[in-house]
Amino acid sequence: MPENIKYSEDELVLFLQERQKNAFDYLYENYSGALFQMVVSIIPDREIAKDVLQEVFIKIWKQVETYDAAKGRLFTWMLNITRNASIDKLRNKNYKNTQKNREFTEDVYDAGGKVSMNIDHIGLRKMVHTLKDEWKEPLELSYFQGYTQDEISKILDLPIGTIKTRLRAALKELRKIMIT
Amino acid sequence: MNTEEYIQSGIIESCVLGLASQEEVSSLEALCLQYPEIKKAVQDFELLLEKNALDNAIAPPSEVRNNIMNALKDEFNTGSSPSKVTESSEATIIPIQLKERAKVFSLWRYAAVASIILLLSSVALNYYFYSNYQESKNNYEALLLNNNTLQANNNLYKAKFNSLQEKFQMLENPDMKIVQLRGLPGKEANTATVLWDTKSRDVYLMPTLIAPPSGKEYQLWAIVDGKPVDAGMLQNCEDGMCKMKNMPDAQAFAITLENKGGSKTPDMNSMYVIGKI
Repeated sequence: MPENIKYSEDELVLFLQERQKNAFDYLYENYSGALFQMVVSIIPDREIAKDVLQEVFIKIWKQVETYDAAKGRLFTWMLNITRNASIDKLRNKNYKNTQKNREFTEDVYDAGGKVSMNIDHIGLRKMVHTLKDEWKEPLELSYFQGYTQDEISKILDLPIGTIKTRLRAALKELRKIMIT
Repeated sequence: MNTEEYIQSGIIESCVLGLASQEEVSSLEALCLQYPEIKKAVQDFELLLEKNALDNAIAPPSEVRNNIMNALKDEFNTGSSPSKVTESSEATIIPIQLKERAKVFSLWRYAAVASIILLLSSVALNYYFYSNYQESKNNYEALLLNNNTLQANNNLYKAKFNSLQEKFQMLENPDMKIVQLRGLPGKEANTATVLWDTKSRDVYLMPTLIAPPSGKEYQLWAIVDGKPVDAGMLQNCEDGMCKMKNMPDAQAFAITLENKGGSKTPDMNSMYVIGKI
């Protein structure tokens, strides 16, 4: 496809909803890398991440009719689909079993509430890991591992109100890091 | 509400990242409609997130693309297979051309609408100005006519005034003899005045006589030593004043009704008025 074509987000959405192949090409060309890094940051195993990315693009294609521009940018919507698909895969029984048979390549936590971080992170997750523990833990567990605030409250043995407060504070700090 | 505090609370980030509850998301959506600064903060964070993801992009293996394209090959609108380069490049170009064409078309449509509006306004203005012009023209013509009438009247009055002035001067002339001619019995309604300049011997007549029947004319006679002398027909009249023949001498004047062209001797039976000097 020609290099010089640049769609506005509205055009891209319209053409995707019209099932234009060139719009899908454009979408893949411009966003597959950004979405793939999201998958990889949750699922470091590239072989599995590859499958997840494939599912993500097919999901985007099938669900683009339900995208509502009034509720946010197309990329935000796609990123959330990507994160949800990645977390689904992460929490899938088969995946857990496969990972147990391999070397630990993913963060694990023990019942004591300590989150062990022994891996080189990428992207946003890398930024999250520069935060102090009380901010890093709720964000890591919710955004990258998909735990609910209830579950995090149990894991960290803290009241849910504290989890909420720390999560908000962590997000404020994360934005500051993202800007710099 | 304190929007700055809300923006700084971290709730926007948690909604955008998909970590907030449905209630929190709905509440943020409502606030975005109400407060542009909150909407902007949301968009700013979305762009920041997008930029961060793009900056950290990791290109997926090429087989991912092929797998996806194979899985979706029957779903594309163009129906072209990705392996056919020509068709796929056409598929790339056509929608954009259509889009451009649609833009151009809509531009023409706006231009057409605009020109129709301009044309209609122009027609309306032309009509308005033409009506005004017609009205002014009619007013001008009416004024011109009025002015001409006034001018004509003025000339008329001026002429009348001059003529009256002349007559007045005649009456003021001390050499002028004024002779009243009175109606004979049965013809009392008729009168006349003769003005006789005793120096120049000019004779003027101011008659007040009934209109003569057709084929007849009034004739003035001077009575000189008892004999009537023709003093002229009542023809050369202007503003009720008739210039008559020069008369060296007279004792009286009289008017008779004669056949057209006048007579050498008067018909004494048809005398209307007479007056002695």
